[in-house]
Amino acid sequence: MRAMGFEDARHFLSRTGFGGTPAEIRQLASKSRAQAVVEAIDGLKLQPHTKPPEWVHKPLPPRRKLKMLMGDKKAVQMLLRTRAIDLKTWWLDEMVQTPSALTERLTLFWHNHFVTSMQKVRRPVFLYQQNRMLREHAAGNFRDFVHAVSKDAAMILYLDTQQNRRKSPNENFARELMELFTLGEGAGYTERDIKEAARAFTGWSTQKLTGEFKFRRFQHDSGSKTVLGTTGDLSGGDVIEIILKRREFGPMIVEKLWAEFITTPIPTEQRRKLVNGFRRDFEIRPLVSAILSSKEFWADANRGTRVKSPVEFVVGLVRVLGLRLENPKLMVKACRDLGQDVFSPPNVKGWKQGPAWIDASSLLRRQLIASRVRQLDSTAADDPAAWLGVPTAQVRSECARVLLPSPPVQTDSANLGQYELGELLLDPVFQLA
Amino acid sequence: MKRREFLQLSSLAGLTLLAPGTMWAMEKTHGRTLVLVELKGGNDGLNTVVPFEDPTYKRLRPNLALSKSEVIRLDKGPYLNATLNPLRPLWDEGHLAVVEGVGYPNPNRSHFRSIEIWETASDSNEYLHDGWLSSALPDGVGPLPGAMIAGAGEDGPLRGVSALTVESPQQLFRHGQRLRRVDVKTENPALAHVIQTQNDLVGSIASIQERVGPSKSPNGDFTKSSLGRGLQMTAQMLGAGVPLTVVKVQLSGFDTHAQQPKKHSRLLTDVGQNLAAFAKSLQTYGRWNEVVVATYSEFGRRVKENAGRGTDHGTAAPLFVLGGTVKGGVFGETPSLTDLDAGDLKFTTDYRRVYATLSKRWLGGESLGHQPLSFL
Repeated sequence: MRAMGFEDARHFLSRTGFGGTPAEIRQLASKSRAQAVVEAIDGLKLQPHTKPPEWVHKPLPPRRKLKMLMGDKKAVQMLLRTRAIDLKTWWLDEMVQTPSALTERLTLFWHNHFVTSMQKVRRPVFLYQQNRMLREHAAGNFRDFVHAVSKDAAMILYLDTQQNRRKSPNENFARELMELFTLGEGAGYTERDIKEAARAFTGWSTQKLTGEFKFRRFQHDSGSKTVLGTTGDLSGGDVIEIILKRREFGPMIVEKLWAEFITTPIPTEQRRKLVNGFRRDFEIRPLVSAILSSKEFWADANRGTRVKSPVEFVVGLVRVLGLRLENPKLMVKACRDLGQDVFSPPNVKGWKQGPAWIDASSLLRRQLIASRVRQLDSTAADDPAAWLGVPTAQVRSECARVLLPSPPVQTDSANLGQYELGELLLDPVFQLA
Repeated sequence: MKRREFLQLSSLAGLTLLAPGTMWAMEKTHGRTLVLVELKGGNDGLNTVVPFEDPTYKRLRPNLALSKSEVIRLDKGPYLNATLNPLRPLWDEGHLAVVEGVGYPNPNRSHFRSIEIWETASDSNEYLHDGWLSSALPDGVGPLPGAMIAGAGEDGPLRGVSALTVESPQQLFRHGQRLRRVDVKTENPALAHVIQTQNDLVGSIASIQERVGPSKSPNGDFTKSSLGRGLQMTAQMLGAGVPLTVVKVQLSGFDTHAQQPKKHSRLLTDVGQNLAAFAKSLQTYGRWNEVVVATYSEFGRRVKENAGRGTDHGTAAPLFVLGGTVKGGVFGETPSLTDLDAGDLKFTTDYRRVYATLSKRWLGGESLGHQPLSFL
């Protein structure tokens, strides 16, 4: 097996994670591409690597009692706000600490697919539970995944399923299930299918305190429904099965996952193959594996062509440079300022990926953050030569090779050391993965 | 600013300064500027525009009701908190509109949620992300000089417009120094996008510096608060010919649950003094006819005072709109102090009607599905 070399290793680590440290890149460089893919996939984790905030294991008393205990509504709001920030900090820190960056990238991918937001759900613990659910299924079976999502407390609250009652059906979840989660907009279903599907999910609700799924039998419409041509006393679960058997199912997920890793479009033949495989067994793991093994993934046309998301940018800075943050909450603020407040996507469609991440305001903010990084303690700043693992004379060229996917466009790299590191972080090329 | 002048501005700096979209957008808004003033925390409307002659006011506010010496009567108009006296000349000139009872159905009394509703122009139970200006502004407005957050604060109504936060002209110029123009051709579309964004930014900042750098800060009686600094900077930039389209400034501290009188009068003094100073400097620059200023706050406060000489979160409140082309007067109906909803005022003017007016009659945008008012 042929060693892939430095450039390939750098590319792989930045696209499947948040970028590699010089040591990580060098270590991977001696392996083959195939080996890199296998190890990344085998390394996927079902459990988080770091400990979540203590409070996730202790359900809060009901809202009214809580208000009584804490004195007033404001105190309760403060508590929930603090917990929300705790949770965001925990996840971003998990992304920094984890040995499996791909797990986090996939979890974030699904967070942006099966979207829910703290803004509406308001109960941080439900978003924690959902995060655990997302990571368990992130590379699992998509069919199980959709069933789990449909019973997830945060989702039930976010898409108003708890208000979906026999006498007043709410179509929100049924609509997004077809439009955004599985088939794609208008792909082989009608408004009538949405209305009928909504009836099947009536009575689906959640335990307000624990977040456990609750089926309220008397709110459920057990009459006959017709969804996508199938008639019967369909349950919500039946509807999911019907949807996943449609011939329209597959392409949207395959294309979206492809675009997460590869910026060039998926070739038709490749698309057909991957969709067919995915439709057969709904397995996400082999799909990810195939995408990362494709020649398009490794092609020159797919190098340095992705605009880093704010999370990739911020977590990447911390991971790659070995930043020692006194207060990891700073990451939450940085990501929010740059437009990606984790656990609070803007709407049910999630964050817009790609070049949209960079506009005048966010570019200026990225530059500000990058320029402040110079003043922080980091492994990279302690001793650049040791960090890079090269003699001092090579620091200049090596630094650019680690930090940038292609040569700098604005850096006149005449000087050595930390100053230059800072310059590279301000280069437009640093915005890319 | 006319297109011709604008092009001159561009050529002055000797660079391609602004994206074509921005230029077009300036034509769309006819060189007009909207300045939004957020009174953060929930301004007590009843002690701002005062129902002085209503006995219920004194009955429900035995400690907080303003006395005769603490109010002023506008000529053929309402009573204002006397600290707003600097606004009187604007009223007399017919440049100050008071919009009464502004609020929305099913009011939410959480700061966080209610300001979100105000910022996104949503219904009470509707969750939107982008600020209302993102759909009210003609396409292509922003980031700079299109949209600016002057001083500090969240982008709020400007979310989605890519507004720049500018603490001071000097700070902006420092940013400008850090950013370099990049002259590299690339086939990589992502890189091209970043470079283009950066070069546009460098160009905008350079053109602003070209104009504002040699100019003097306006003299006016601005305070050192975030509002004072924000308005002073905005006046300076407008005076120097920077074609700002929308500016947001803010003043915090309006959440007066306890010991309200001193705090509130200090805040309103700041508001009155800075708005008057702003109007005055723009009049000096001859630009007052091209500017509209509107205040807003997430909610008003409870009619009945609380036990701590303060007021709790309420609902509807009045707001101010001022500018050289604003039609002065009182708009909307003063809410009743006796016909309350759980102790709070019932709104009489949907806040989106104010937005509709600003959008349609000032910025040349859509009316957001609401009927504009006649202050413009």
